[in-house]
Amino acid sequence: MKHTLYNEQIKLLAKSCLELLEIDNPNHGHELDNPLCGDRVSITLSVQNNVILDIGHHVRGCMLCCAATSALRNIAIGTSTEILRKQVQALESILKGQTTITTALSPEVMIFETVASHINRHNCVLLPFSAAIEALSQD
Amino acid sequence: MSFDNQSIAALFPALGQEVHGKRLRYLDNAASSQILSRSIEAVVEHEISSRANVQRASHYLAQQATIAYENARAMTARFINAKHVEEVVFTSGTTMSINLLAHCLAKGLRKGDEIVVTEAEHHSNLLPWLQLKRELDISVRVIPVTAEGRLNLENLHDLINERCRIVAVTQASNVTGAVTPLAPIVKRAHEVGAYVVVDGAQSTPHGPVDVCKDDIDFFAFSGHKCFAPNGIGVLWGKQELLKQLPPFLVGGGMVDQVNFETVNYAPTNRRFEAGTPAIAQAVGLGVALEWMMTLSWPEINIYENDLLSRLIQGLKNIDGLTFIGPTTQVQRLPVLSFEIEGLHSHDLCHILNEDGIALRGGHHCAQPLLKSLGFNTATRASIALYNDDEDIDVLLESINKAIHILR
Repeated sequence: MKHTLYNEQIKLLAKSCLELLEIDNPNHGHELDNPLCGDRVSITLSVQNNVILDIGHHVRGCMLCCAATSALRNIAIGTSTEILRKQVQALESILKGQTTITTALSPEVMIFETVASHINRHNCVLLPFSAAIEALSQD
Repeated sequence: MSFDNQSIAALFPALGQEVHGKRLRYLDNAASSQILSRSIEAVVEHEISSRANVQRASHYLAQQATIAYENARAMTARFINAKHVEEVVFTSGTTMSINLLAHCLAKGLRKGDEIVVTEAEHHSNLLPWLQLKRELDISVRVIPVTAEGRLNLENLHDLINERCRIVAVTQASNVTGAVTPLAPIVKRAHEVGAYVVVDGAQSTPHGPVDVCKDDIDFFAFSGHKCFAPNGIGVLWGKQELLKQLPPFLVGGGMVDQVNFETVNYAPTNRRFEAGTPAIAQAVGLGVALEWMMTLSWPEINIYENDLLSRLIQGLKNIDGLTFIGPTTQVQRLPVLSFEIEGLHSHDLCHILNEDGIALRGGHHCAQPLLKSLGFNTATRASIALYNDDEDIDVLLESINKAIHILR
């Protein structure tokens, strides 16, 4: 059964998200809760010279949160922390319905465009991304 | 005469609306009920014809406002069978009632004292007491729940001991609907001289209550779950106990005499209602409770129970569904939580919403209970007197549709 929000791309991303994915030698980490529903995401990152080498996670969340966690991993590994920050800013803009985005968007960010009209689900998508940005902001 | 659900539903204008092109099926009554039309009308009428501050001035509108406000208090006292009207304190809701009480009772607590709560509490009847634990050198002990969410009273004697000063319990769980057996808890609490505080937020929408029946000491409930406006709630306390409590907020309306040296606070209820109260909301509450008292609740409770039974039977046919809470309908309200394997409650509720169905997903402000029962999140359907068989059938159909979409 086709569904605009719960489309095949979102479902595939969510299914590929393990509940727990541990990585070797993480040097950044942060845990965030969604107070609305009790979902919780822990993100760990291994970063060297501002390049993200690996991302681990522990996810207790809805389909959108799991899909976003997989997307985060796909977007971030091998990229610079600065590019990840820009992608997250772009994602926030997309969810707010803003169309003037200058950053070259990752296709996996664009997947979440369908969530924009569901304001009470924005945090579901942003939770892992916000946890990653918060982790990177801590030395 | 059987219960006429259709004529009841017609009294709730919100139920006539469509959501996403479908008839609204409102099954989130444990969070907030819909408001009775005559309660809305009473609020509007009051604001038009009697808007003034209460208990202050002698002009006509002030008198009308005071009469309306105190009539609402009298109606509330009747609804809960209070011995004295002065035992009813208006607050903004259950959360405020319990916070007020915790703040006032804290003054009498000493190092080493204990407060007993249950694992089934809504955060509203948990966090105020945990806050006291943080602020004072006291302990909070917990009555556990069984695997099906009933209170396990096996160790009641040890949990409620001579150090216990307050026992705070819900009258019924907002997650499982399980009703608390108050009698043994009150008996043991009073044996050791502890006060019993009862959270009645879930029980009151299912009919008038009797605060005298079990000899409890304090009782709290909310208007917004009882078909009344938001922003109004009730704290009831035995008169002799309210008289002993210090005030909570101080300011206008709650004093008899003030000078720079001394302050004489008003006796009982007014002492806890500093400032201008939510007058129109109280009037709306009074009207809703008056209406509730005209109904035949034994019939309604049977009707609500039949709807719950229909829901339980339908859910039993869904693969991978686990009930959270009692599997029987004895000593429970028509509140039912469940989990479907592989489906998150938020995703499920999202799909249901597209069919016009209002259900709640999440932790229901009862995280310790859900954790104890082994769940992070739950989907909850909560039934009120205006729901009908069609609501249940549409819900069951939509759940099956959601499973196809989400799996």
